[in-house]
Parts: sequence; C-alpha cells; structure tokens
Amino acid sequence: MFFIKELTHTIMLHPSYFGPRMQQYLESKLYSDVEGTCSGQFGFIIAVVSISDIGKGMVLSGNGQAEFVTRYRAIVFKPFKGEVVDGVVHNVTRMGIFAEVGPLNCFVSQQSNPPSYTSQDQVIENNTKIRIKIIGTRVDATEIFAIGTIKEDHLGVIE
Amino acid sequence: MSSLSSSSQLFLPPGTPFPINVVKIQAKTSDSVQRGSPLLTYSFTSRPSEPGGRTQVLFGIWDCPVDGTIERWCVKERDVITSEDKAVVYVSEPCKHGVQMGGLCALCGKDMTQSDYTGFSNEARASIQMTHSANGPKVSLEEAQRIERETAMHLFSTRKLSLIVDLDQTIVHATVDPTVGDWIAEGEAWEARQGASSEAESDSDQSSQGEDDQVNPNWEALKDVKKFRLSPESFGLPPSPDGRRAKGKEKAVETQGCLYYVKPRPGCHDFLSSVATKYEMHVYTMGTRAYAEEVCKAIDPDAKFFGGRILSRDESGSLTQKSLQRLFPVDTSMVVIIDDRADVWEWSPNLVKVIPYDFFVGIGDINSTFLPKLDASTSGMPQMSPTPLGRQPPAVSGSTLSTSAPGPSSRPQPKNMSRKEILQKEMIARNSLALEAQVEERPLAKLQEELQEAANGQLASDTSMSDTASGQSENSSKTSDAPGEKHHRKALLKNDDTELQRVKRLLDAIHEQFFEAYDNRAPDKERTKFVNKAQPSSSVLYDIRIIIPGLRFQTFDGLHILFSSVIPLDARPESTDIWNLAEAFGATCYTELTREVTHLVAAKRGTAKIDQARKRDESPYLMDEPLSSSATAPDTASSPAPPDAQQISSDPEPDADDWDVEPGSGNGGSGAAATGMAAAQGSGTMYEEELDDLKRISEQSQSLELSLSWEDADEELREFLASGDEEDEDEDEEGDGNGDDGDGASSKDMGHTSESARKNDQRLGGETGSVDGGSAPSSPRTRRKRLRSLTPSEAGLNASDDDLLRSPLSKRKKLAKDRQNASKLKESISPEEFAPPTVPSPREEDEEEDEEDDESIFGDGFEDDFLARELEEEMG
Repeated sequence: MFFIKELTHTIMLHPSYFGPRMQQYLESKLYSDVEGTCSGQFGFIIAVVSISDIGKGMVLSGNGQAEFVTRYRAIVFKPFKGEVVDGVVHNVTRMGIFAEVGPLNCFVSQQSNPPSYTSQDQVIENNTKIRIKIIGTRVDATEIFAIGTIKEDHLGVIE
Repeated sequence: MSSLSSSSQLFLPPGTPFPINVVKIQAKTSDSVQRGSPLLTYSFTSRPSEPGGRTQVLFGIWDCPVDGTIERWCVKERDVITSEDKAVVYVSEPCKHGVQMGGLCALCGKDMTQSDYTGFSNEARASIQMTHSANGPKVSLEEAQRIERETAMHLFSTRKLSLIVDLDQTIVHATVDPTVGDWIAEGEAWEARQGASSEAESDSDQSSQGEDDQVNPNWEALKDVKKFRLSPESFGLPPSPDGRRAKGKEKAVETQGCLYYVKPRPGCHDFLSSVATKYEMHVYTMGTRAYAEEVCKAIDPDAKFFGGRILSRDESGSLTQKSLQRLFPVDTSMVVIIDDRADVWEWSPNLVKVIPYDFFVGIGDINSTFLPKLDASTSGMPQMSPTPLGRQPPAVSGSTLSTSAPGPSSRPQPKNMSRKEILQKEMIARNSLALEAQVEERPLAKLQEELQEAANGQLASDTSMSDTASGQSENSSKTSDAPGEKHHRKALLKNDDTELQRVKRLLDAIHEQFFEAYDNRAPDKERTKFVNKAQPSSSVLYDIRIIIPGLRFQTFDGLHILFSSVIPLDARPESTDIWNLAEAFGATCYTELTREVTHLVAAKRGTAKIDQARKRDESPYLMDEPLSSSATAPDTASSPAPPDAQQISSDPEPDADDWDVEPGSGNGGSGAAATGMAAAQGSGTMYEEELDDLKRISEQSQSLELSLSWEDADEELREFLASGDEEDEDEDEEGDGNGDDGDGASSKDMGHTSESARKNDQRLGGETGSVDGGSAPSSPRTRRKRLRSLTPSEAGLNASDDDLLRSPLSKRKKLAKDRQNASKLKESISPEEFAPPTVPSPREEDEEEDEEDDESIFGDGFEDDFLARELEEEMG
C-alpha cells in the first residue's frame, strides 16, 4: 500500500560545501540518499514529494561538519498481508514464480497456483503481468520480501 | 494439494527423559491444537545424580509443536514409551510448510524463523535446496518428491531427459590470455582490409606489416571466439592477502576486471540445438555465477537451451565437488551428465565423460585451479596439456612459482577461522592469482613463438629419424595430427575438435535406449516407479543409472584381461582401481594366465607373464598401456606376438600417440588412460573408434616424424641446463633398469611412473606459464619425497628435509598429496613409463628428458625450501 509519510533524514555536510549553493546540494543529497531505499519500518521510499524543512545546520564540534536534520514528505510503499498487488513475472522455476511488484520481490509457490502455468487462455512466463495476493511478508531492516498466491478468484494473469 | 491434507507424524522431542509413562492424553482425536497447547502428561523416574540420593517420580507435559487437528493417537494412557523414534500422534496440519522462502512459508506466508521452547524448528522441515539459485526456495523431502514426480511426468510427456552440461572444457574453452585479443584484433583488421581494398592492395598492405603476407594463422579458428569482461568481484577476488603482490598488476585487474575469451567447441551450436530436442539442459559449472551467465549468453543468446537453469559454484555449495543431489535430490534416474572431469562427480553412473576441450593450448580449465589436481591419469587437464613446446626457459616456471607463493605462505592464519573457510579463501585466491599470471605471462604468445621456431627448425631437420620413437609423445595432438598442414607460419589454435559429435551420438543412443525401455515397460510399472521414487527400484529398466553403465559395459564385453606388473604385489588385485575400472567396462580380469585370457596388459616388457604368454602363441596379447589401448585390441589381437613387441620397442608410448591423433583429445601421453575411458564410454561408437585406431597406427609413424624436431630442441635445452641433479637421474635409471625384474618392482615402478608423469606435467606447466602455478609445483615435490622414502639410497636427503616438513609449507604439501590421492587410479596407468624403449636413441632421449625434468623440479624444490626457511626465520 502507498502512503505519504513525513520522514526525517540526517545529512552531514562537509565544510567545503558551505556556501551559496548549499541548499541545492542538500536537496540533491537528500534525494539520492533516500529515494529507492527500503526501511523495514516504513517500507520502500518511492519518491520525495516535498521537503518541509531542510534543517538548521548545526556545526559539530570536533570535525567541523554541519548536521542537517531534514524533514521531508515521501511516498512510501509498504506491502501488507492480504493486499492485492500487480506484478511482473521475472523468473519461473519448478518451485514457483518470482514476480516483481515495483521494488518488492514476491514469490508465488507453485502450490499457491492453479495446477498449471499454462492453460488455453493464459500462460505464465517471463514478463507476464500477474495479480497477486500477498499472504506473508518478511521484513528485515533494509529489505522486504513477500510471499503471494494467485489461487483465488480474480488473481493471476492480467491483460 | 494432497500434501497439505495428509497428516504429519509427531515425535517426542529428543530431550525427553525416556522411558516415560503416559499419564493422561490431553487432546482427543479430532481436537484442534495450536502450537504450545498440551498434548499429553507423562511421568518419569528421575535418577539421582549422586549415589545414595532418592529416586523420585516426576511429571512432565508434552506440548504440541504444530498447529492442526489430532488425527490419531498411537499410544494409550498408561503406556510406556521408551524411545523417540516412534510416532506418537498423527496431526493433520493446514499447512506443512513444505516450501519455504527467505524464512517464510511459501504456502501460507507464516514466519518460519520463530523458535520457542518446544524446540521444534519449522525451518528445518524444508531443507532441500533444489533450484538453481543460491537463496531460492527450500523444500521438504516430500515436496521435492512431488516436484520431481511432476518433472518426470513432464519429461515423459515430451520424451525428454535431463542433461547437466559442464561449461569449461566440455562445450567451451575459456582463457584470459590477452594474446587472444591481440590475435582477434589482428584478424579483424585483416578482414577489414580484405573487404575494403582490392586484392593487390591488400597484399601490399599485409606485406607492409612486415610479417608474412598472410593473416594471423590462428584467425580462422578464433573467428567465433566471444569475449566479455568480468569485474574482479565477480570472480571472488578477496582483498589482497598481503602487500607483497605487485601493486600495478593488481590495480589493472581491479579497475577493469578481466577480459575473458570464450571459444565454443566446434559444432557447439548444432550440438545444443539437436540435443535440446531430446534433453532438458542445465548448466552446472565451477565458474562463478557471473562467468556462467556470460558464457551462456555467448553460446545461447536467446536463452532457449538453458533458460535460467544455470548453477554455478556460487550456488553449488562446494568448491571441489559437484552434486547431482543439488538439483535432483530424490530421483536421478532421468539425468545424464556431460563433463570433462569425472572425479568432481565422484564417478557418478549418470556421467558421460567428455574428452576435455583444449583449444587454447596449455591454458586448461581456468575455473578449476582449486579442484583437486588431475593426475596423469585423468588426462586432459590443461595443466598437463601436451604441448610440443618443451623448451620454455626455466625462468618462466620460476616466475609462476613466485606469483603463487603468497598463497601458501600466507597460510598460517588465525585459528578462529574455520579450516574450510581458509581453504576456500585460499582456493579462490589461488584461482585469481592464476588468472593474473595468465594475463601477465601470455602463455599463448609464448607457445606461438615456440611453435614458430619449431616449425622453422623442422624445415631443416632431418626426416630420416622418423622411424625412431621419440620421448616427445607429449607432442600435442593439435600439431601431430596435422602433418600436412605445416606451413611456414603455423597455427597454434586449431578448429579440429569433433568430440561433440561423438557425445551427441552417445546422448542419442542413451535417449533411445531409455525410451525404448520406457515404452516396453510393463503397463503397471509406471505406477510402482512413481511410488518407489525415493528408493530407486532396481526393477525399473528405464533408469539412466542402468543404461549408462550398461553401455560402458559393452566396451570390453567378452574381453578377458590379465594384468602384468600393473597391480602391486601387496595389493589385492580385486580391490585395485584398474581392476575395477576394467570390470566396470565389461572385461573379465584374471590373476593368472589361463586359456580364457584374450588380452595381457603389461606395464613393461619382459615380465614373467609376458614370457609365458609368448610361449603359447595362440594367445593374442597386447603389451601396452591398460584400457585405453585395449580399445585397439581387435587390431593387435590378430597380429602375431613379435610385431607387437616390435611396436613397443619402437615406440615408447604408443598410446599417447594413438590417442593424441584423436581429434581434439589434446591429452598427451599422460592423459591417455582417462581418454580411453571417455572414449570407451561410448561403446556405441567404439567400433568406429577401433577402425580409427587402425588409421591412427598407420599415422603414428608420421606423427613420430613430427616429434623429432622436439628431440633436437630438448637436446639443446638439456645441454643448456646440464648442471642436473645426478642422483635423481641415477634413481630414474635404476627404476628403468629394474623394469625387467618382473612384478616385484612394479609397485615402485608405478610410483616412478606417476612421478615422471607429474614431472612432465610440472615441466609443461612451468614452461607454458600456465594457470596452475599455485599447486602444480608443490605436487611433484611431494611425490618425490614419497618416492625417495622408498629408496634407502636417498635416506640422507630425506633426513635433511625432515625439519622442513614441519613448516606450514609441508602442511600444504600434505594437502596437495591428499588431493592427489583422489585419483590414484590414474597414476597407476599413466603411460609414461610403460614399455621402455630399446632403440638406443629414443632411450637416451628419454633419460635426458628425465634429467632436465629433475633439474627443474629440484630448482623449484630448492626455491620453496628456501622460502620456507625464510618464513621460519621471520616467525622466529
């Protein structure tokens, strides 16, 4: 599920960047630091929507770097059990299929499939788009992995 | 879905204080239970820990480790349970968690990593890794059986079998030698010139290059070579083990990675596309994942042969072994393997051994540096690959050694690292060192140079010596089989391998037999087969493990073999490898000369058995190298004894030459035995090969001519190095001399045999600057020590080495020794020592070669000793 969430990120800025273009630098640093990352708590940070507060920039005693605690709003994607998502198949094995739901890797066991990958009207192979219901997620500190099923009505290959 | 509903048996946990009395069963049949809910109460008697204490009756509760519904109890109240290996209760679970992925059950999505006081691990229920990827889903045995059953059904319905394909030296040959790149660039430039300009222009163009008016002679064969670059992480380069490596070199490899050149075996694409109709192919290689993927991209750009079915050493779980169970944990009856090495598969009955493809002469398998060294026996390994270039200055071997030196000397590592880890690290380090060495030293360029010189030399050389045998049997197949092609500028790399055609015929035959058996099965057999999948039922005839050995068996079927001075006197003949090998190929072996014996396999001339056999001249016999030569039996068998003897005396290593002529075998003398076996496996093709053998024998004289120029070369080198280790030479001569004493000398002789094989190997390895720098130098030395201990005259020398044996270096040697033991079989049948020549000139040649071998070995040993001593001093 997607959320807009207010998050904070701490940037340490080297004194050599202090100057007129510091603001832009902080922004681009924020984008490159957080976009596309994954935290177990919030899920995948898809995109930064806006920066609400770039921070004061406290110079740390000892090393001279400035610490900016930036607050920003971002679109995050966190999969939940029971959620129905659309994905693209990227690997088919004897055990089941692996699908990519955006940044999320999802495994659908062959037993959570209808009996066959191939029927008259639909084939599951690489790059097939399928609709999956998530039945379990494994959330690590920096990674989320999901188990899904397509063995329910209206799940499976989508046109 | 049946697996979901079928009930699972529950056992008492291992910690239960047996025997126990069941006091009360707390959950009735058809009750639903959760993990942690009590199942039964039991009582047990606790024994006092100190004598005199009172025994007391205590009570315990067994809690349910799973969720589900009680189906049936196997015990009643007041029963006594004495052991944990009987199921106590059957519970039907909603999900048996038979497929797990990343700690989650892939069927119900539950977290499997939780553990609680019940001590029952859900994770352990699915422990079999059967996909090609390293962290793919794991399955339980039950699930694996189901999946394999489905696979089998699928294969039967498409009339296919599974085929596991090795990459290196089986269907491709790879190198990192930048020379190849240069040659390709040269060739491409030439092509471009050809295309762009008129003929006259291009002629002048080429002559302006200052070389011949021809393109690089290797261009023709190099046309289909693919190249790709791998970054250093992808071949597992560990952080530099110590600062001693040349910084510059390391940097070059680090920044751009290594450029790999991959040559598909001739006919590779045809082979794959035709085999793909009968087999579902998997790749199983000892290369890294990245390497495997790149190679597959090169030979199978559309991924239609292999798809994603690629297994590399990253996923294999072992760096030294390949395991069929990794991919087919339950049923291997429909799996065929093609590989150039049988030892990594532990001689699996599913294996069809392929003659190693050695296109980039002397390079070998770039991914096998950490595999146990192939001995003379196993053939084909690149390291000992037969090159005609016997003249590399010793400096090269020295430099190879020094490159690899950091590996061994960095050996003493913190003890807290597990031994295995250290070994693996060392292996990987050695592999990357070997790659670097190859990049540095450009063995191919050197070889080409040598070839060129040799060719020039040969023009001048006298062909009158053609009928004398030479010690040059290691003359490469590549050169010896193409006598007519000796142009002014010779090609080092040849496109003349036909092994894949042979393998294809074999695979077709296997496929045909399998499905013939399958079609002829009793109608109800199919069911029983699937039911008994877990324990392979021998009643089923459509089983690869029966078909391949069956084919193998036909090879020597009906032959009756007697060994002479091949099997050591103190060994039980029936338990020796050679004996078993012969029997595996269908021969009947004897210990005494009897009427039945059709073939006599002797390690040297003049043994008692040979004399005996010669007396009854109606018995055809063969004095030759075992097994490989036996393939030629029908030819020799018909000829009377004296010609046989003649053959031996005129050619010290007839088989080496024989087999070398086989296109693409590239095995040289040392590999003949295994080659023979590989060839022999295709009994379907055996008769063709026998015909070929006839031709080969007639060609032999020609190939001998070719080798003569090398004699000259070696002569020169010998003079150059004349400061040899005399004692060793004496030793060798003695060995040869004793040869005639009969079986008594045989065990020693065999040691000698293998030693000299190693020596050749070593010499070649050194000369070509080949990849095996890491381990090759150590092995011959080890062997030498062992050998010496057999001879009292050498005892003094041994003693002086003794203190060194306690050094880390010696540990490494021991390790190397252990590894070699893996393929003892091969040692015993290495061809080098069989049938010492009687014609004086070749004999001399042989000794001279020995001498210089010893020389170089001694040099190595000395250098290593020196290093070890230095190390010891440092460590104080």
